[in-house]
Amino acid sequence: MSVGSILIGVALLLVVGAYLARPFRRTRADLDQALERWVAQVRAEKLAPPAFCPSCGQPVAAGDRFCRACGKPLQGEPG
Amino acid sequence: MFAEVGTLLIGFALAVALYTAGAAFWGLRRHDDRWAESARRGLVATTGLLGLAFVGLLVAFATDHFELAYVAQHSSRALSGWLKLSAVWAGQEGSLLMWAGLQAAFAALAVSKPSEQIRPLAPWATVILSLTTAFFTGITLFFSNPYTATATVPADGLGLNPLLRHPGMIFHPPTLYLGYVGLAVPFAFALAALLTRRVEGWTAVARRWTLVAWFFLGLGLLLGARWAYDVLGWGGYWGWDPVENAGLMPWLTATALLHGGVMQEQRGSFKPWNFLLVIASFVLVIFGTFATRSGLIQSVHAYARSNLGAYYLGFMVLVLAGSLTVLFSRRALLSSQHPVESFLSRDGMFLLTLILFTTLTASVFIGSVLPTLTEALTGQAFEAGPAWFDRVTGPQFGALVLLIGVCPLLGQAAGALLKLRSRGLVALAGAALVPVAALLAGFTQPLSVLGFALIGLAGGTTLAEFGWDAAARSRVTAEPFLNALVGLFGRQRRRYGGYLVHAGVVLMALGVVGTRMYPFERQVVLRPTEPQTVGDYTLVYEELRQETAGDHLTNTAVVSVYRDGRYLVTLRPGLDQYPTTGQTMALPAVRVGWREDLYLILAGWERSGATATFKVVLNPLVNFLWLGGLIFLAGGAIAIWPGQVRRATSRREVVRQRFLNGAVTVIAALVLLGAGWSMWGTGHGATVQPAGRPLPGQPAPDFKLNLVGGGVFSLAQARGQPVVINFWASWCPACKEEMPALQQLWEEYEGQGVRFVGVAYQDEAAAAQAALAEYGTTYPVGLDEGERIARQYGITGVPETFVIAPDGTLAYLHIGPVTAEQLRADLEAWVK
Repeated sequence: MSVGSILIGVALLLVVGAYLARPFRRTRADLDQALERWVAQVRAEKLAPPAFCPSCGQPVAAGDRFCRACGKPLQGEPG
Repeated sequence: MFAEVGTLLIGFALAVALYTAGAAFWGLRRHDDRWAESARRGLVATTGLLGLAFVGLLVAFATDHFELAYVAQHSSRALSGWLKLSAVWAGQEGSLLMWAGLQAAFAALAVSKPSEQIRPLAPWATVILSLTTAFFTGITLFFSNPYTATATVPADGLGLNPLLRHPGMIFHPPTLYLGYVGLAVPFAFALAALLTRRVEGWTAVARRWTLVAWFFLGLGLLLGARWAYDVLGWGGYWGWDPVENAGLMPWLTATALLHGGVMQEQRGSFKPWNFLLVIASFVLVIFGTFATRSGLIQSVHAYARSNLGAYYLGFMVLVLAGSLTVLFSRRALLSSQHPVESFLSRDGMFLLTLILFTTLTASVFIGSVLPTLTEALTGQAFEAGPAWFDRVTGPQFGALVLLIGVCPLLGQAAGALLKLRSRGLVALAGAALVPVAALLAGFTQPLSVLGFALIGLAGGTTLAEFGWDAAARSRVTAEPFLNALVGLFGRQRRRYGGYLVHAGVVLMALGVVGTRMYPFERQVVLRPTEPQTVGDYTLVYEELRQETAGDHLTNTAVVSVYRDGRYLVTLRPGLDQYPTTGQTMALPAVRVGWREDLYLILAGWERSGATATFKVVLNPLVNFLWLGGLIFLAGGAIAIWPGQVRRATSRREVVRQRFLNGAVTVIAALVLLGAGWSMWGTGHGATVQPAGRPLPGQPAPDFKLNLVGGGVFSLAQARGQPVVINFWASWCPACKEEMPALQQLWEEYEGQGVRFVGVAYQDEAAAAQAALAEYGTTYPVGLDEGERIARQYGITGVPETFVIAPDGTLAYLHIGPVTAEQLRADLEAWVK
């Protein structure tokens, strides 16, 4: 087999392979989504808000930034 | 390089096709759309790779790459451009590559952009279609590779089989292959429907594909029939050759499937029928290729013979066993919502139609395998010839025509003859008028009269269907009748396209009855200028012209044809001889007529044309067959069109769909016009002269001729004396040969009351006078100004000599130089 034929063969293989594999490629949008999911997961695990308000002692709901009873900012809320 | 890259392309295509099947299956298992999308791309990639391989082969043919064995075997440097391209599919290797490529393309189209209905079926259809593609690609790669290199590169190729040098051969194989590969698509959808247990909607999904395959198969069969008529030179168009049958059988089952599909969509019935028909269609396609390749069955297509039969047989058994197993395992799903109550209902008629198509297919199948089968069983082959097929299938085709005539008259419910009164009258009128017209035209065989009655009934019903519906539409929309008629096709394309197909079938039936029941064939040996009567025609063989053209020798006989003593046409049948291969090819000449075609074949000759043998074939009503075929295809094309512009999301989409519809319409119209032109527009070796020569015994046309050197010759005044009229010219070398003989006889007979006159054809006075002086001619000669006399006598060249008897009728005629002996023999009776 001549060198030229081998080169053409390799080129074809790459083009066809890339074309077929395209549906599996992670796009930028996929990556952003994955990062967000990850951040949300970490936030849920590591930065979970306390179950009771440190100021007034009333129970608070998950995801609340301020206490629904006394209005004081809850601990662990970043920024 | 060509060989290596081409083989590589086919190899990659095989790998990708196998990957596609795997990816589609894996995506199905994992419910993963990414695999399904990759599989969809796999079909596109397979198409691209096989397409590249095919284009490469086209280039190899166009540029004479004889290092490829396939190119060397089927092409040569002398071959003209378009023939080189059609040579790509002249042999098995190229045909298989084309087949595989088309299969991949159809598969890719079928599952690309799937509609909501198709989506659930698409994965399984992809698996089935890519495996089918892989089978054909694998066969091409391992057993029939067109990119196989020769050990030593020949200086020139062997050339193309002369039988394949015909415009029809460019289109006949590809259209048939489009039909064959197309039938794989409905098969794949049907099997996918069974596997996913969605047995209701697949016929609607697959309908357009079935129609496309059916259309191309029909077009291919029609082109093949026309090719046989134009090129094979046996006078017919259909010989029940096993390979013709191989194309006909899947077409019959596909036709049945189209009818069954209508019932499944409208009434939810005929489900088992449709599955069996679609399986039969696909299996018969493979059987056809098997029959052609295996050489198991003798055929004119024997050049396609090879040792691949076993693989096709294996594939066929696999497909048949697999699909029947799946069908059996899903039998519980196949019950009908509306069982057929009575044969005298529309449902019953559809059932009868399906049964007839099935028995027809079975008859053709049995006839095709009978010689092989009986030989294997009894050691003696029973040949099922055309007569056997005609006898067995004729009544069944007749029954189908009857159904075309009766079915549209029946209502949905059992026994309801709803529309019988008004439309039935038209049908009955047709059934009465057509046989009467046929009887008047001289078609009197009782059985054929029955055939004409059936044809009239079916034609009447079909016309009534169009007429009544257009009238109804015209009343509702207040359009003129003709607009309403066209409007019908716009509203319900499948229904009225179908009726147009019926109209085509009815016309074709006329042609079939005419040609099959009134065959006429005679072999005649003709001598130059001696008239011979064959049927209603009188043939006068004039001369044989021989010349070399490229790699072959062409021989053309000139024959003028008279009917009832009147000149009709001049036919030029030919025979090409190929010295390198020893092949000969007859080029028939045809005088086209609605009553009948006069079909003339030059069969042979002796002593460079002193006698010539012709085969004379009369084909009654055959043009109705061709016309019907075109109408048939037009109806099919109308049924395929997407029809109304869909409710589109955007203006651009509307424009796109309109453009697509328009483009397809234009292309279809061009295809049909092209087919029509090739049938009736070209001469087929027939030309009509302004006038023919008078036949011996007919009065010679009177004329007056101004003579060179003064005086006038009048034929009327020579009545009572024999006259020799010689057409000649001073520029004609052959005339120079005969002038001394004429002068010699003139000197002998001048005193015995014989008149001589020379008519100079396309000549000038000075040149003519000089020639006369040179030859010492003393009989009267004049210039035929404006070729008036030459036209009267229908001469086709000089010299020609007419001998007129004393009573003013033509006695003898000589085309070409005449000798003194011949003239003396002619005149002997009238001189002392």
